[in-house]
Amino acid sequence: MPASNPADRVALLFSGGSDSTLAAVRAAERFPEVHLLTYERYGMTDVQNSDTHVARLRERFGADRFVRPPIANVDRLFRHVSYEGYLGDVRKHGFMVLTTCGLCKLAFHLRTVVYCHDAGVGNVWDGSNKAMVIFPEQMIEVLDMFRAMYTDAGIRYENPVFQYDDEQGIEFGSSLWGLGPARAERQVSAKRTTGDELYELGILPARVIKGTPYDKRIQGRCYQMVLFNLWARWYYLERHDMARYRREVEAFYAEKVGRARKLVQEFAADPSGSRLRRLVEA
Amino acid sequence: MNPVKIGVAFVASALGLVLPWRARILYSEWLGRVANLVPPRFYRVRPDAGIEPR
Repeated sequence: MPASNPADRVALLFSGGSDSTLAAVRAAERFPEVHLLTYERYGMTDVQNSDTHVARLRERFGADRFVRPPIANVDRLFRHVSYEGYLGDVRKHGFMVLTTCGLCKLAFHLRTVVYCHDAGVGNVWDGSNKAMVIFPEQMIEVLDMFRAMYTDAGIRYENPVFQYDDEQGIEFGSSLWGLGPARAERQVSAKRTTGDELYELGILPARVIKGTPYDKRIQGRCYQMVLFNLWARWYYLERHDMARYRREVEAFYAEKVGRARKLVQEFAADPSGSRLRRLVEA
Repeated sequence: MNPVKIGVAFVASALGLVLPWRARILYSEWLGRVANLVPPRFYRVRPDAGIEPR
C-alpha cells in the first residue's frame, strides 16, 4: 500500500546480499513502503542479480510493499568523491585514498539523498554490519558521520542489522578466493547471523551463503576491494595495529564526509541548482 | 612483520595511487586474478593486529 507521509517510507541501499535482504525484511515489518535502491558504476558487474531477492521479498510481503526504481549509475559522483582534493588527500592521508569501498559507499549515500528528496522518502536504512571491521563504510565511527550527513537533509539513517554476527567477519575479502577454512571457523563462533534469520524465514536456501555460487547469483560483483585489501592487510596491518587503523580511517573520512556534507547542505538549500544535482544528472 | 609482504604491497599500492580511475579499477581486477594464484593463508591479517569487531 503506497504511503503518503515521508516518515512512512524508507529507502534501503540494497545489494541483494543477505545483510541488505534481512534489512529489507525488517524494513517491510516497520514501514508501509520500502524503496530498494541498487547502484552501479564502472567496475561493477551483474548488479541486476539483486532482482533475485526483490522477487522473493515481494512474494513474501506483497508486490505493492516494495518500490524498485531503475538501477542508477553513480560514475560521476564516485569520481568526484574519490578525486576531489586528491593531491592534498594523498599528501595528508597517504594510501588511505585507496579505501575504495568506503568512497564508493559515500557516493551511494549522496545519490540516496537526492533520491529521497525526489521521491519524498524520510528514512534510509542499509545492511552495514559490525563484523566487516576493515571496511570504512561499516565502521560505527564512519556510519555516525553518514548519519550526520543525512540529518543535514532531514533524513533519518539507521543500520538495522549492524549487531548481527557474521560467519566470515574479518576474513571477508581476505579469503575471497579460498573461503572454506575461514567460513568454517566463523560458523563455529557466530551466534546469530543474517543468514540464520533469512533461512528461517524461507528466503535463503541455506544458513551460510556468503562466498558460495548462490551468493554470486544474487548480487553484483566488484573487484576494487582487491587493491584496498592488499594495502590494508599486507602493508598497513603488517606494520600497525587495528586501533591506529581505525583512528586514521576516522580522520580521513571526517574530511571526506565533511566535503560531502557541504554538497548535501547546498542541495538542501537549492535542490535543483546545486552541485550535487549536477553530479547526479550528468 | 613480513618485509616481503610489505614490499610487494607497497609497490602495488603505490602504482594504484598514481593510476587514473578507470585504469585503477582494471588494475585492481588484474590484481584479483593474480591473487587467485596465492594461497589464502597469505591474505590473513597477523593475529596480533588486535582486530575485533565492536
